[in-house]
Amino acid sequence: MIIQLAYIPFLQPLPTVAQWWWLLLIPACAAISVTWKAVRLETLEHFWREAITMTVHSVLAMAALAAALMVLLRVVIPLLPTP
Amino acid sequence: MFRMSDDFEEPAFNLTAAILGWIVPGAGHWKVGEKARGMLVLLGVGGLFLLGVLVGGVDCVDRREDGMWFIAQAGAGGLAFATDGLNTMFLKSGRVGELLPLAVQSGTVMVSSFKGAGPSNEIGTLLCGLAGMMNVIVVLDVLYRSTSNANSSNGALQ
Repeated sequence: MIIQLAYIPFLQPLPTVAQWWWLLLIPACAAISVTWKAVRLETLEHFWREAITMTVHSVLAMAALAAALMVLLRVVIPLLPTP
Repeated sequence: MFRMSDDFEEPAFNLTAAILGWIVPGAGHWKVGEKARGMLVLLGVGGLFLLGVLVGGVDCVDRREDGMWFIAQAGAGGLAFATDGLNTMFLKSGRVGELLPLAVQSGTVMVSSFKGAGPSNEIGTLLCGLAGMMNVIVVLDVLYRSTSNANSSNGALQ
């Protein structure tokens, strides 16, 4: 039996991910932060503040690493003398 | 000077809760009385796993073809095995989509027209693997978690 619709969520891969895959870093960091803070915090009183802070820190750290790698590849390495 | 304390407590060893937490993420914390933590773990691990399946489709969890990745994904327990079952039941059987011939070194194999390829499949596989590894941390936490302050630790989320 052939069922072919435009897109079936969860059965077919999400289309056009190749163009915006890097945005998935944000929900991935958020989910990891929620799980980590749920396990590590002694009390859950300031849970959401802690989880959001960790998410922001993780995303900014990844962005900084990406920027540093870009500088290394596009600026520093081309300046090196070729043998 | 070293002194033995009279109120020494045996470290907790919640094997049943750990097994439950492996099968359903967060269920272990729920069992030891940390219901709010359990819900948050379910939100985090379950959300990450579902995001992976949404991005890559059920094909991104495949016990036979992506065995090494499945080791990481299997940390999410029931979610991983259920997704692998759905992959076999719907895609590999040809019940959904179409089985198409694919030439490989050893001959020709039939693959689903819904089989993921490229970045979506890779990212979906990675996200499901991350969810599995996070759940391993959660299971280790609940295995040795003392339940004496379970009620107080639920805090403001209640």
